[in-house]
Amino acid sequence: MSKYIFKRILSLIPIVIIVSVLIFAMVRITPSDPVAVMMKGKKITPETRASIEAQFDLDKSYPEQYICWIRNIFKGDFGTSFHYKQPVLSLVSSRLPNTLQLVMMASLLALLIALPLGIVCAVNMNRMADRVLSLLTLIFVSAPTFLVGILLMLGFAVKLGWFPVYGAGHNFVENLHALFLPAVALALNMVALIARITRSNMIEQLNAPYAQTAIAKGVPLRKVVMGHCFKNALIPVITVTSIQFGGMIVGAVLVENVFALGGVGALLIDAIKQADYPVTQSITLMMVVVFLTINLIVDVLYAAIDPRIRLDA
Amino acid sequence: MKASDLFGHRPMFRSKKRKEGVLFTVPVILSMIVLGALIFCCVFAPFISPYTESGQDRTAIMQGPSMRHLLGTDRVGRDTLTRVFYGGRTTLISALGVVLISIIIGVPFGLISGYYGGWADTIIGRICDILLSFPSLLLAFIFVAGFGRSQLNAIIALGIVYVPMLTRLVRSLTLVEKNKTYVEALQSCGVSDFSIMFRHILRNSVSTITVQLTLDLGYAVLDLAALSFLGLGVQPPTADWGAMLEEGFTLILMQPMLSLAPGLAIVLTVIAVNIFSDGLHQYLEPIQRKMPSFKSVEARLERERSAQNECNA
Amino acid sequence: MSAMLEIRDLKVDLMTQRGIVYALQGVNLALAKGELPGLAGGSGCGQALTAKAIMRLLPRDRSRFSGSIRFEGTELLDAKEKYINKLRGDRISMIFQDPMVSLNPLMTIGDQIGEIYRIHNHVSKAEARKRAAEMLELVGIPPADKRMKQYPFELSGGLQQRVMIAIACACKPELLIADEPTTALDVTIQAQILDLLKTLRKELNMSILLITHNFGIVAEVCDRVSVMYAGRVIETADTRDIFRNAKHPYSRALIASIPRAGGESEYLPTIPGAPPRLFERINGCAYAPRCPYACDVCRSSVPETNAVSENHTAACPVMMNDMAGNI
Repeated sequence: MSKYIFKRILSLIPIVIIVSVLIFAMVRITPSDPVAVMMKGKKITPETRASIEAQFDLDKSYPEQYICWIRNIFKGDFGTSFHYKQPVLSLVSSRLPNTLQLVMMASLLALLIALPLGIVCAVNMNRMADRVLSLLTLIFVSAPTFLVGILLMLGFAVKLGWFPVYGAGHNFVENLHALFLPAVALALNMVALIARITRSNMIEQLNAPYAQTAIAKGVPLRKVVMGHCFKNALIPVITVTSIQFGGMIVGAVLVENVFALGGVGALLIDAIKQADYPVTQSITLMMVVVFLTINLIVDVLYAAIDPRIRLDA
Repeated sequence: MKASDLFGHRPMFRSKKRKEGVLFTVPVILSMIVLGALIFCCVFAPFISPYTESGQDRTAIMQGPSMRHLLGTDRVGRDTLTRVFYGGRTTLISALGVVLISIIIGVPFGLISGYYGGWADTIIGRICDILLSFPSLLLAFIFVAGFGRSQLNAIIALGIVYVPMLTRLVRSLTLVEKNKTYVEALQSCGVSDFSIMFRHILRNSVSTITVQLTLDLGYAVLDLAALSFLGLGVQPPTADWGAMLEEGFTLILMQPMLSLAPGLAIVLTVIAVNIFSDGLHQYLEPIQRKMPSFKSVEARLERERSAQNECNA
Repeated sequence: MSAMLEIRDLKVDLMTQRGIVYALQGVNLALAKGELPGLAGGSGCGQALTAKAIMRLLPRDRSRFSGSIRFEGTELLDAKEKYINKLRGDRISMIFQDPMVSLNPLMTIGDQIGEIYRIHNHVSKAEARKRAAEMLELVGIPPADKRMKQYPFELSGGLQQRVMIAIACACKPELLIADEPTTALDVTIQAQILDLLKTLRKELNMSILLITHNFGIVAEVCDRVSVMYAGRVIETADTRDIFRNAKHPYSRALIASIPRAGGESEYLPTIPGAPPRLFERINGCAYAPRCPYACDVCRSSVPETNAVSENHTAACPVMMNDMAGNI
């Protein structure tokens, strides 16, 4: 098991290296001029320009700049932001707790609602309850996260005043309240997707021969569903959930924008608009690494669920 | 004799005569009507609407819905409904572009990868792995960060984001088809690989691919809107649903219709596309199809029989 | 002889993608305590469906049925789900064709055997485990304590089928329905499984309804056999009787097509054509289109089932008229 994880981590290293090169190349291909953006369009002398370029390693060749970035990553500060003139790591780490809590709350909410919903739909396939719920999930799959956010904000924050209209709280407990609407907005889309995938997989499992065996054994339907089929339907559900988790990292960007939460996502978008290379590159790379790590955890989870998957093989 | 005459193709929609369960269920018909109406309005916007895309009317700014302006006006007096129509043109054409790009790249790659296997498969698979290590829209963010914020770049970026999933789908379908006897027969007849891949294997997998593409179309509308909402896609003053939503969002407390109208347009479009895709999927996937009742089928058989008798008489 | 299970005029219609299939068109069958009858016929002739109807395993929204299935005097077709659930696995059990897919892949063998015992006897987990170990010994899969913790995929097909049998017999059912229990297995394993069923029948004193398309198996294990064709039972007789004196041309054809070592001909006789697809109710003998002896009577009305002798009935007007049987 640990040997497998070690092997997987080793195999991730080349991917991360290629991804980092890709990110670097894509960001640097830009036609915009970061120095001009930094100076906010003010005219500057060639000497000032040269000194700024030297300060941020912009005078070096591309391969050298890449090496510098990688060196900064290993130094631990991920480089210095053009815009904020601060190490990227401290910029990210001050914004990370909010984003992390938002994503966690949303995932928890999503799973708690989606799994039972999908199962209920599957058991009552094509009956009234299934049709109504399926229609609802269809609507939420189709609604853009930011629109749901805007509507929730209008309804529950502006009209009813139950939640703050924008901004996050100062600590975890305050955030449970302040981040509730953003989390719901972020979760609804995921709820719909996971519920749909749970439904179709449960239907498949309920029609599988082993489910028939269980029924023939006299196992009550409830236990057939929960005790036999659910576990079998779980693997594709986990796959989709893990992909959706990646979607959530991006969805958080949108929701943070709507509710002015100032998290990591908002930082990334601002950095893209301001040609703040170190921040753009580093946050993107961090998100990719997080995503790859989640995928690794999911693979280990598969083996825990299904004895047929042998990790050390 | 052409080889395709020898080897029967599975028709995309099997003849209705021998099959219970229909494609054109009430929801599917409704969704097609909605989509048709939307497309009609967008295409014929100049003829339907008395206003133009950017015609400003300083005497009527920030108005609510009225007889003159059915959905009100924005802060420079442009008619919202008209802009929704024109925005639909931008959004729908962009979404089609995204799907088209993913087809042009994804389908041949998937076919080659599945058909030839070996090193071609390995290389294509690795490229997909790299692209898929970016969680959802992140790759599009980076792409837009590098190549500049514009509609065209957003389309290309999303097109590329959609490629790996489509490639994998086509690859797995090709693997299934490749091992069927008809492929062997074609090979023994000396039919070229190109022809086998694009004329035979592709045609036999087209129904599954179509379902995926309709789904992708819906996602493309959503993702494009997200990019525009973040200011990374279509730039104002071009009318686009996502961009309009973003513009309207800043004024949401004064005139909610400005962001709700394009939002509603997005939701309606995506729901309609998803229902259509869902209907198609259920039609092609027997397990989940709702079966008609015995009564209705027997009544139909009876009608057919009596009609037959009348014909004979 | 009082019947433990009695099926009368069972009709089952199925809704499929292609339309309504009139799968069972009036099945009559009776089974006494301790018997081991066979239910034979080509694949798709309705034997498996009959078994599923007894177990009430047919999907509610895609099937409808009429007629009567009585088990120890109680009607099963309209019994409450709760009652059926008590019956299933406890008094009537079933084993399926393909053990590979019929066992839950993510549950240990011990748990799968224990589960059925726990549900019907409301005992502790430890007791269920003990029972599961006993059952594993009984069906011949030692060492029980090691096997208990294994998953189905770790066993061979033959052992998997033994596990299925262990599950089915854990509560000492009165009736075991075996749906082609050996079809998915090697020939050598087949014999072992059949032997096991014969032994268990004596040991647990249960009846076994053996569904098969292989008359060789019927000859080997069954006391009696009912032959099905196109959703009807066309002939019922003691095994010996049917091999000597089959009345229905279809039964004869089936018997003729058993491969025999040292047979006089090197060609195995086959039956031309295929069983009809039952998209409508057939008025007349369903076998008539393939039958060399068919006459107008066969095509115009459904043949009645008549007694040939004691314990032997057949539904073929031509053969019945020709009692000499020397066509």
